[in-house]
Amino acid sequence: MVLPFRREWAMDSATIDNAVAIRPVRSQNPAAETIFRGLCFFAATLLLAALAGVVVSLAIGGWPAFRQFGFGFLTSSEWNPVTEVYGAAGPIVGTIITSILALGFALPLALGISIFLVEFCPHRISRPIAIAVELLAGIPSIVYGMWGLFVLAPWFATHIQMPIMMGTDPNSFWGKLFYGIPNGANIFTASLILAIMILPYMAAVFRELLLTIPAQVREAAYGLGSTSFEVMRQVMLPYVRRGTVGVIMLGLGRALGETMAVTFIIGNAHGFPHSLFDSGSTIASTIANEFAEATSEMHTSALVALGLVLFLLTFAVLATARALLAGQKN
Amino acid sequence: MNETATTAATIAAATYDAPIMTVPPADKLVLEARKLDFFYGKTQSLFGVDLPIERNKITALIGPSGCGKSTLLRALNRIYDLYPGQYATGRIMLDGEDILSDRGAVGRLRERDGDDAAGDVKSGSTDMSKLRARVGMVFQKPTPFPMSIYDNVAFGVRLYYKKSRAEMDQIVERSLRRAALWDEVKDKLNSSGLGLSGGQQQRLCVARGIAVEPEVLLLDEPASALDPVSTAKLEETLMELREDFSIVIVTHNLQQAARISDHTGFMFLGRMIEFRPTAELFERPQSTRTRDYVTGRFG
Amino acid sequence: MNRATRRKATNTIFVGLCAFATLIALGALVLILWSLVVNGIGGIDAHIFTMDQPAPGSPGGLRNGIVGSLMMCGMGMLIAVVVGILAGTWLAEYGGQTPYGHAVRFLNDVLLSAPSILVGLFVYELLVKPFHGFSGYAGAVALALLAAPIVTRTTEDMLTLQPNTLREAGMALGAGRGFVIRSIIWKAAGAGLLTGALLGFARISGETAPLLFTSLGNQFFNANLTQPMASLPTTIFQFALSAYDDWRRLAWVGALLIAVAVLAVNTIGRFVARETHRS
Repeated sequence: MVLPFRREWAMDSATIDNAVAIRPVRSQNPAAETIFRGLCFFAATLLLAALAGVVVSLAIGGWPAFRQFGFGFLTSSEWNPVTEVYGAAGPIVGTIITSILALGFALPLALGISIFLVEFCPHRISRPIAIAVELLAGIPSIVYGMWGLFVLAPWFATHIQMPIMMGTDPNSFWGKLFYGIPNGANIFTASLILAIMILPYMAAVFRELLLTIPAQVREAAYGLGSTSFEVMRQVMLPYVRRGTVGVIMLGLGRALGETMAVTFIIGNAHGFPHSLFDSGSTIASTIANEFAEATSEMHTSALVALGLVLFLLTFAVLATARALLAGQKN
Repeated sequence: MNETATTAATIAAATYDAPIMTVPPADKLVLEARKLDFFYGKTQSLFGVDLPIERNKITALIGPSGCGKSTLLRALNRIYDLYPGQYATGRIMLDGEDILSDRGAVGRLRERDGDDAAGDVKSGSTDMSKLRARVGMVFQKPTPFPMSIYDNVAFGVRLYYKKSRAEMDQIVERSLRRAALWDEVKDKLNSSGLGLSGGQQQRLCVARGIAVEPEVLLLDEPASALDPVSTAKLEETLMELREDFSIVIVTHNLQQAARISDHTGFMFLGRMIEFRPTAELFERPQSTRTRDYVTGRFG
Repeated sequence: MNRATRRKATNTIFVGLCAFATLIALGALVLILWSLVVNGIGGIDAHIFTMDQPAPGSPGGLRNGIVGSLMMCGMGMLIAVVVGILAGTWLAEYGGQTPYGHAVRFLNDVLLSAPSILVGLFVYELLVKPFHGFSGYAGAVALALLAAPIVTRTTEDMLTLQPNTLREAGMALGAGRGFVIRSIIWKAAGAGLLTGALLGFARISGETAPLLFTSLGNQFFNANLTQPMASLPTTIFQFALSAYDDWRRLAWVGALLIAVAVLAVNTIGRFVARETHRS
């Protein structure tokens, strides 16, 4: 059929009726539309259900332990699979200590890096450096773990722990603070590794925060003759104060949940760590180490209960971080 | 006190005067809006608008920003259906059939005009799938689809018809020729539509719109994103397309409306103020408001 | 020292400290990569890819771990991409602004940042305990749960970036909403969606914790997803903590392989994202 150049037939009602009768308008098939929309909705709900499932399964699995030990579960540090007595205080304290220490190391570094990249770094190399820092974020946890175990720990033992042990009296304050088996596997080194791991995230988000500061604010401050340090301290940092707290919480949230890197290098001892260089454990490392060979129902339940505690902790921290950062970005 | 009352009455009468319309004979109309109201949620933006579109002519809608000309245009092919909370009341007759005849619109019409006026309209009698094939639209910003030029033009046709490769080739060529784009793209039909210049992209959108052979083609400020040369080309194209299509164009460019359109409607604050053959509206506007606008006193 | 000199000195110290911080970060990166290369590269030979996990003292490779990782990551990504793109589409195109949509988005972000070991516990309760056995499927599902939120997030962001006129243009021709999404919007956002998939893959290819209680690990070659499966990360975990030198060497090789894979995927993803912005 040769279609004429000048229009001789109009696509009026009748023509379309004929065409549609032969072949339904597939692009508007109401059934297909509903099915597609339904599939999309189902997928979205699936994600919601997955998260709900995580919480519910943790709660159900951990319930026996909570019922058995009550609130004491959180405060007792006795963890004995043989006598079936479980107390989560050791891992909980270990988790919190390592995370806070890691934050302490990472925060100034992250601030320094992002400030450097935004204010001082020459343009041409700022992109490659930023990318390099982000690469740190991409390295998998287990690689950090191996590096920590085989490189950092021995170095730390030889160059830091041994000299300190040689040089201090074990009964003095410093001796007690730094007491520990000189194998480099302790909460301090674990915190170091954690710090390197959370550093890139914090630097990236903080950099974005700095970039939201309107140019006029910066220029006004510089225009008055301030040095960079003064502009940063008196004008820019206060501007992003709320967001900075958000960055802190973000880093904290990531550190709390980190598993593999910590498991390799924390020494895995139950109970409270007694000094900075003592071994300890975190919730994640305890679960990772013991779950597969858990000896009894109660043991498993105690581990799952630990998981629930970790989830609630992480959730609270990350939700706060989100709220603070969202508020700042507007 | 008498004076104040008279003044107030005069102002009221002047403000809500019936539109001054020269309506083409009914048998020449392809599309007609009657007493059209439009609502964005609770806000009303069109008030009892009448718009007659004569077959095979170009009708221009002009008016200051916010007067409702784009809203009116977008009501004509029901593109507002995409957005919940937007709805129209009244009638839009396409070839004698009311395209606003979904249940909601009929209910509102009944409420507004009473059972007698709305009585002859059947609920849900318009099939939306056919409507969009009969009333096409070209948007302000050129929006080529992320596919080849060929597929862009064929997209609309493929929604309704299964054509052989040879037939589709002919349709694509014909549409591109009509849109004055064929010579520039005939060697690169398979390249992406996004690689064309702004003016070419807009003509591609025109080709895409006319490929399905609509009865009416709506254009919403089609040249506002184009440079003068591309604009001239587009206007030339539209005037040639008049032979096969009825065209409605919204424009803020008065010279453009004067150049290419046969009828012009001037709108203000959601009302049709004056609708007349273009030459008459521009040379002898009968409403003061129209006169003020076309002479540049405001706008 | 007068005030001006002191201000200048403070400033210089400050800049120096910031630069120093950057150097520390870069130094850490270099050190880690250096250790990987030094310890791992010596062990790379054909055996790694052709032989399975050995008993201590015997020759062997990482074949079963590599194959297992590829299979579970592949299956996990398949699930994650399907669920993620559909969910992201729902958020961007249909119900994203409703209260339910806000809830979905928020919980999606929570799942995204949840400790991966807890996801592993969940999948254990769901797919391992009831069926009395570890399996590759369980591992794949755990990985999918970790990657899907990333894909969802990226998909929603990329689709929302598409201008509304594109949708209107498609619907003005008569296509239905879903058809417009599938044939126009998805295509327009194509590169962005790919980036989301790559980011998700980069995340899960290095994950260990969730696999510990789902796929468990397998010292023999196994391509059957219903059985416990080896994976590179779990093999590395087992070997690194062992007392055997040759196992430890293999652990380094595995670590190098994973690091290279993840960095490569990240770089590709970054490249794809940049190309999008350019066009």
